[in-house]
Amino acid sequence: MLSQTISNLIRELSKLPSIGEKTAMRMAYHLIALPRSEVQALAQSIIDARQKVALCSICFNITDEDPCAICQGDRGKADTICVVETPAHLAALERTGTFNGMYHVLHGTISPLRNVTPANLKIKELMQRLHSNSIREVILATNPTREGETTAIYLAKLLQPLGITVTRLAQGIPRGGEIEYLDESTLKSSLEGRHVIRLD
Amino acid sequence: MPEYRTNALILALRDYGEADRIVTFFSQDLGKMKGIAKGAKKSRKRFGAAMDLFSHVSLSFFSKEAHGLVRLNHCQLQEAFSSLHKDIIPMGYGSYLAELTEEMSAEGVTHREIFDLLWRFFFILNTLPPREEYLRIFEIRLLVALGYQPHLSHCTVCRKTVEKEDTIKFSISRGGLVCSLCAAGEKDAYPISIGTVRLLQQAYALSLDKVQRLFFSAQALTESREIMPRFIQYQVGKELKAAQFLKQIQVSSF
Repeated sequence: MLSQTISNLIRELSKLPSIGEKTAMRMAYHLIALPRSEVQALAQSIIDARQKVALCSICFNITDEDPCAICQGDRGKADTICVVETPAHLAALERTGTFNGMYHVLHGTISPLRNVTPANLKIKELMQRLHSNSIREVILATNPTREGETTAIYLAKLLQPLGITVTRLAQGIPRGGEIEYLDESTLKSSLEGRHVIRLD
Repeated sequence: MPEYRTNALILALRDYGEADRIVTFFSQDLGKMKGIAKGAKKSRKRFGAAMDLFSHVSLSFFSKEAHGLVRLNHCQLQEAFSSLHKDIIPMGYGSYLAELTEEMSAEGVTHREIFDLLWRFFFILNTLPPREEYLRIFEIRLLVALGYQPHLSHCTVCRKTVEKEDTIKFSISRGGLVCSLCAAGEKDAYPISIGTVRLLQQAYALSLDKVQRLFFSAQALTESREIMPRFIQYQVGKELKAAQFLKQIQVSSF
């Protein structure tokens, strides 16, 4: 028989994504075995994150100051916006260290099966940004899935009349991949998106 | 644990945990099934680009008896139906067909006719411009295949055969026509012309390879739009998400 306090903790932890009851139980026992200061630091950081973190009013990335550091910063390619599905995708692209432009987070993709329409995404806000800033290129970096592609094509059709260059992230062989194990669709994309080798 | 191989159409995908996916598919040999694709978001080798909505794939999976979720092992693309995502309307239509099939069919019941029906309509949406008729034809053919055939030849109350000059209605709860005399007390009955009745009859009598040749008049489209989605909602017990989506993007289908 578990104490009421432990049961409450397990119940709350198991509400987190990917956490089942057994994992929640292991986490609960681990937490109560920790020094009090560490538990307090963890609890405080959760409360701080919830209270201080908001969405950037320009790019809609998660931030604790508005506008976010990227929108405030002196980026080399401020005339390029990379459109991503989620803040996690933005973070993944930032980790590459190669993109020096701005971002726009849609917070999802067009999904009829979840009744997510274009009006539910930050598309209207993207269009406002494009109208009020001199943007030369929009990179559509949604996932190469059915819903990601639908969203990218929908945006490309919206952006076409604005005279902005619209590009899509390249699709093809992953680095370290083996050609013989790749599916036909990926190989086809990599053939279609082949490029000239530049030796300079 | 035995391994099965089958052709299937992917109906729905749901992320599960860090890299897994729960996949709902309609297989050629075993009907609707659900499976877990372990590491699907990471493993391009086993599932690749094939594991996507509406794709026609060859699947292999392991299944224990009396266990609902099969374990997907490998997935190879047969047909991507790649034009379905080139516009929001075919994407919405394809999603509606997939969701309707998922909601109405029972798990693990072999139904080759439904596999062929869904494949055919994905093929039509992939190759021809989207038309509202396709939804109505699919709906009625699916209902007939599953044993929910609406009664379209006689009044469901007095059993009188409907004639050309009769003023008739379609009762959602009775699942068929009601004549003008019997329609008086019916709260959920909608007007339907004999012309629309004949088109709906044709929609399920035509051979599957000819369904794209059927065109509805403006009146038939309006009447069937009032009736069929309501009848479906009555049978399923809820409004489908894709139907709500199509309504919201103001496509005149619902």
